[in-house]
Amino acid sequence: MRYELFLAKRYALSRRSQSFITIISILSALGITVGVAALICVLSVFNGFSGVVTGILVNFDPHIRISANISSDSATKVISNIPELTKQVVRLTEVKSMAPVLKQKAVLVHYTLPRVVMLTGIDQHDVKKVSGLGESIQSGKLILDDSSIIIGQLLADNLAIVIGDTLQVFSPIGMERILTEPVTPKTRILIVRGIFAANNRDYDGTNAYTSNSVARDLFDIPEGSATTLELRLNSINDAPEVKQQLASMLDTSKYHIDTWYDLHTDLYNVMEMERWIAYVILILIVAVASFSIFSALTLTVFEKRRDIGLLVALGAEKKNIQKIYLYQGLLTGLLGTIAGCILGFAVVWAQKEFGFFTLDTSVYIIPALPVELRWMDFVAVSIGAMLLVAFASFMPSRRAAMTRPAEALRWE
Amino acid sequence: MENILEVQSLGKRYASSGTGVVEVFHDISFEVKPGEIVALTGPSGSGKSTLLNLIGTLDIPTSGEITIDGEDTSTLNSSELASFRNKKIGFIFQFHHLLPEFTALENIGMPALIAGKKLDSASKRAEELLNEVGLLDRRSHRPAELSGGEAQRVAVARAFMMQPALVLADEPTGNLDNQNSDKLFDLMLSLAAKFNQTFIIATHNTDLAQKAQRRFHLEKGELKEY
Repeated sequence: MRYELFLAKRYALSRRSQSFITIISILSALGITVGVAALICVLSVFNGFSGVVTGILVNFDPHIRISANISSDSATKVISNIPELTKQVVRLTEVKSMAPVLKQKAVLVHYTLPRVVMLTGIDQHDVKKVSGLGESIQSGKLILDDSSIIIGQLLADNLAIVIGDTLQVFSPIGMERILTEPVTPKTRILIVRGIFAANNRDYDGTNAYTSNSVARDLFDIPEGSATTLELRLNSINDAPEVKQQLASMLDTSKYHIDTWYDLHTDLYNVMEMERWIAYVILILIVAVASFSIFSALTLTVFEKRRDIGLLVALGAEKKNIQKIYLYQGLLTGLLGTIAGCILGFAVVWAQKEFGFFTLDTSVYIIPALPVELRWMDFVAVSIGAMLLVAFASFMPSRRAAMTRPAEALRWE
Repeated sequence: MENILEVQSLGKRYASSGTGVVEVFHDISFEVKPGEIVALTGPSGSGKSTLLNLIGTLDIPTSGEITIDGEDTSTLNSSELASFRNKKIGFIFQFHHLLPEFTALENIGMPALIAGKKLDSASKRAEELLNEVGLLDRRSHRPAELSGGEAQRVAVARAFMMQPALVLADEPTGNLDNQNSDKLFDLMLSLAAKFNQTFIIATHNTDLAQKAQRRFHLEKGELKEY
């Protein structure tokens, strides 16, 4: 072991003649412990909530959605060659299943109450391949024939709809000409066969499902065409790679490819930004503790000026002296960081195992604060903490190196 | 026989906020041969410590040259000076300046550690030196557990660790009572004779100075041998 580290270890771990400096050093390490542990706990909670939200969305969303490029010259924003596209996509081994989907806005009317919804037309045998709709049915059944409609729980509550009620569905096709021409919008009467709850207010309040043929008729979409081709992959983590493969295979002037992440980019970006904001705010705890290290080290360098002078007399260079005190600060920070990681891990593990912090299930869909440990959080927090400690230790260690031995060793 | 130390036209001035410049001494020249024990006397404030600091390369002279073991110290950069001090110069100060967090053995071995040696390999010589000063059984004791005289003996042993060309002792007995002063001085002289060590000892104790082979007196900026 280099002698600088040998001396630094001994200095960091020994009691000093002035206990005040020892107290500051201990408090500094404790401050870093608390800051690091708090960061890990908070980030783990963010991870947990993120996992819950992602799980809800991904359950309903496809892993990959291929749609017509809305900037293309095509008059109808539909994919007009679904069989050909399907043949290309099926070659990718990562693709588990796929289904053509017809998706457009429509107006639902229950008695006199209208509501604009996103109406999705999908075949009965395809729906379970690319969607979690089947697992989300709260009442009724998942029936998607030419007389059926499935709606969300919030929509049902808002329009006072129960299983068996009939709804009138109006297509928006031709609506833009209604003021200048005698246009009769297409409409269908459908029976509510099932009500789903996705635990997502957006989905539950604005989505409805019906059969492929009903949607095709309402939206005037010919056979062999669809608004989107929705894919499920063997692993959701393959989505970015599959997107790249599809982009290289397909004509991107005609098709637009979105992963599950792209479908809610704003939401995920907001969640990511919240994580970073929490990180920045909480790392301030570590920053404050680092200032304590700065104070303790500055006092130590003052107390140790004779020892520094002696080491120079014995042959130590300025850079060696600087290293000794830099290492001392880093050791204090390292002890605090390791202790903080252990404490943070213990708290998060306990919450995961025993759910100490519970949530009101009448408000939240989960019974306890969700947490998820990620090793990258430990790495990021530890690196951040140690960088702050290194920054705080730099000035006092530099000051130590500037000690003039002749003055320091003068016997007073 | 070549000189172990040559001081030529050495001068030191300090800038002072009050009077402008303070000249400690100027144009000091002398030589020391290997194995000589030299006493440097003078009243308090005469510049004995300053002269030793300059010879020990802990300070920079305003003028003149210092050559130790054939090396002109003014030609060395800071890194070379540090290495030079480590290998060629041993120090004994008025206060023992032992590192309080380390044992007697570790303190003696410190110069070897700084030179890049491992403590294990330095321990053998450190133990020999500790035995020479009669404190082998105190190897694991820290300075706080030693008396003033014992701590100073450990400091003497440390000065010999790297078998330096020159040992500089600045008032080594200044902090001790008369009995311990005599004992320490005699120990230093016996070690110097045993290891053929060149010593320059600054002291205001003229009785002790009489025991040295050569004596210089520094006063009012002038150095005279007597």
